Amino acid sequence: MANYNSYRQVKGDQIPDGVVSDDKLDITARHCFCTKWIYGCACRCSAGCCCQWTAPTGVRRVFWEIWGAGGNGSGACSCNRCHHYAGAGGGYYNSKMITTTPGCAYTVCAAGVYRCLPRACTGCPGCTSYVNGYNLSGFCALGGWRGQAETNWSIMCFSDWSCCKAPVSWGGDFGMGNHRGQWSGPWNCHCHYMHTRPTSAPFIGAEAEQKIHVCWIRCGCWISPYGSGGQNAMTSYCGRCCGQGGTGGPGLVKITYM
Amino acid sequence: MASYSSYKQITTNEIVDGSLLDENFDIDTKKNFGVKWVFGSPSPCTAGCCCLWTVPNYVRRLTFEIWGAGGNGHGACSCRRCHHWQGAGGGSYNTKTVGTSPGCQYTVCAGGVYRCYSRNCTACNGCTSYVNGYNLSGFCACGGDTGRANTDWNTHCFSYNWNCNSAGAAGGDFYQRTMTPGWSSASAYCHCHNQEVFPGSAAVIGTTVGQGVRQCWIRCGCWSVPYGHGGQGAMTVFCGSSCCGQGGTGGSGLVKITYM
Repeated sequence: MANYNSYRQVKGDQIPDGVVSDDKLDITARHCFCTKWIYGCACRCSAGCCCQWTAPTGVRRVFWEIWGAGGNGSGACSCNRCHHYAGAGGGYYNSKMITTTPGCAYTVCAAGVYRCLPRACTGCPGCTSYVNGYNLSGFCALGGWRGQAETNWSIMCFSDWSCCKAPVSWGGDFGMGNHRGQWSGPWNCHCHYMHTRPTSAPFIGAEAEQKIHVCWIRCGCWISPYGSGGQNAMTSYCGRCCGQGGTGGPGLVKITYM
Repeated sequence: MASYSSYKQITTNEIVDGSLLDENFDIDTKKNFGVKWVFGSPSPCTAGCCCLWTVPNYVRRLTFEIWGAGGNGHGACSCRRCHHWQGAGGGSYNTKTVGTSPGCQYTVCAGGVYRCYSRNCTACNGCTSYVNGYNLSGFCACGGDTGRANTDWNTHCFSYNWNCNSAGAAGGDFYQRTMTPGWSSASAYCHCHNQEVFPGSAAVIGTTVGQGVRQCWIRCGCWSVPYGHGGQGAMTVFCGSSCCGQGGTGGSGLVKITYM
């Protein structure tokens, strides 16, 4: 039944078009435009970070950007012949714009890496970052390709794709990847003068490089930037030269919402 | 003439400044934030993608971000003498934020590449990406420089700016050009063997492509490359007259539209 309060309420058709200007709004009204980052430790052997994220009050639009973790570098594995090396690849990028409802919960995982420093001739690919929840389906970004050490010099070649990805695959609006690193060894001896580059994740673009001239063993010493491939161990000798590769950089999730 | 309905309507003066809270609005009001990508195929010889984009209802602000296509890789052209190589360059980046009106239309082109595998010593530059429409003027981002093969070893040199635009050039708020990659063989012992070069990335994207040969009859630019990246060239370490290998094409241009 109508009472004095309901009688006093203003209905939509009582507000002519265009009369509600910005200065009528409370300064915080309709101003929720925020960014949230999800990421693991920026350390070696990062576990990444998984959590549940809930769309805050008033939020209707979310733009997801995710990056897979970088691949791990290879070891300088036991060898009776000189190796050459392919740099580990950076993680893939994927993005998706969706409509949501306040209170919707999303499972968000910024990928980690396989948590060991490899001594084997191949490292491990980086792990996949992903988000599950309302209006998302199979949304993920693959990790980067692993570094490799190889005694078969006939495969020395250009950088290439570790995975054939269409820009709208894996549940996104647009995604892309990077080549894995090219093989080292374009100089004049099998053993010496090795040079390669682990690659980065798109739109992050950190750069790493590794080379040796004559060196007993150099491990993949340094921590990789987010999404970047890890460093290989490298040696220019043919003996028992087990060195450890480094791990890739962890994955990353950026949530922009309004 | 005033009716009961018009009599009941309020005027702007009857709404106290700053009095309307979030809770007073329908949940979708002013929640028109969106992102639209325009891109060509990621395959070799991409044609890019051009389309007409219409501003959705209630949208008043746009940020365009555009990347030119990567340059095509060089061929291993007919040679009487060994070559060295310069990688193809990545596409430039440009961005512009404008006010707009719902229903405004924009011609959006993510640049493609010259659609052939080059056997020549120089290939083609990547194509320009651009957007035309209300509140934009000459807004574009150049494609990357072509790759090159050269027997003149005097040109062995650093990378350089081939596209000398200022930061506010080409109709944008901020323009980032790219450099050509350096020439191969800086560390090598002989003219013919041991070549390594890195085609360039598009600005802001930051991808990596590498290529090298130690001793190889011919290796073509085999792989497609990431968006905006310079294509792989063909390489050989021999001096014959029939070493025509094909360079690969650059990566497609890209356009990102963020609107609100």
